[in-house]
Amino acid sequence: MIHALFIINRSGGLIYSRNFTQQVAQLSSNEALIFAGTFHGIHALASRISPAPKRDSVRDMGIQSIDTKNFRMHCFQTPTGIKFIAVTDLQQAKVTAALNKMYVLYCDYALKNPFYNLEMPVRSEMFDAKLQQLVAQ
Amino acid sequence: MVLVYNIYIFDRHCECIFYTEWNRSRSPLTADQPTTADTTQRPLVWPTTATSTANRLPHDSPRNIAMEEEAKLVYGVAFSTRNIINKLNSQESGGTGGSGGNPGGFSSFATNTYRMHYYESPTGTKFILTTDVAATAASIQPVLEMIYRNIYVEYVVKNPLFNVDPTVSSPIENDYFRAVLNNYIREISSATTVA
Repeated sequence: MIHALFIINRSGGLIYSRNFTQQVAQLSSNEALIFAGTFHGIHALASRISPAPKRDSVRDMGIQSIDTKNFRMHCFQTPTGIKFIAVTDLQQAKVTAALNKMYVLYCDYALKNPFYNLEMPVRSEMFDAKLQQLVAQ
Repeated sequence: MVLVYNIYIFDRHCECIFYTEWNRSRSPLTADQPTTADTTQRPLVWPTTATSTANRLPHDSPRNIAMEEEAKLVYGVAFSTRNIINKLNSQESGGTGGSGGNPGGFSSFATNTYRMHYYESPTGTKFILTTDVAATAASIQPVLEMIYRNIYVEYVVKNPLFNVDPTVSSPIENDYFRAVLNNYIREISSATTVA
């Protein structure tokens, strides 16, 4: 069950935010922007403070999930630095597949739109509808 | 089997009052530099809480400054994460695990190399433990609560010399606390499942 989705661009700006259920608080636009900026910061810092032994093949890629009492947050970062953050219930161990599909939708319905400006908020009814379909599954 | 890297304890003034590490082979904030044999051999202790002055590094040594910087980063990450979780949490009351400044019940976050567990006491003392990724939040929360309840309170707070002045923060300089904590962590590291 996916409660909410946030998409954050490369520089920590919020480009999409949507609640699918009432399980998590509906953030005001200001709060959502603060959320995006803060998450961007802690994601970058978390990889700097890794205590794990360094291996050549493994680099710390930043936060992948956050566990809380009522929900779990999953973060998927694309190779180009866009972060997809899904808020799910606690039963959901991995939503990598769903986040990947959301990335595909973002590519198809936002990036391929000739009128879409990079790094700017996504406003597309098609994207909204397809996302709703995906989450309903 | 839990691989525990280190623990930080912060008081209400965001001050790191205790730090110790176990299976750590990387110096603070030098992610890109190879570690020297010296830092991997002996367990390192938070400089200002070293038990004897002989162990104490000069206050402005590079190692000391790096540790302090790292503690600030760790605190910042945990504090900010807790705050955004509290914002998102719509269930105002009910449930267990959240209290005091942590009503959202932030318990841990994971990257691909480590997992950081967070526990906040009702009085605002924060315990931050880093482990390998496989240790789940559900299995480490009781451990942190145990450290708070049966080790921190027993050996630090109940010490008659404990600084009760809430406006001043003082590092934990208690050998018993360190010894008991070490034993406990060794115990959970070797146990196949965490009790």
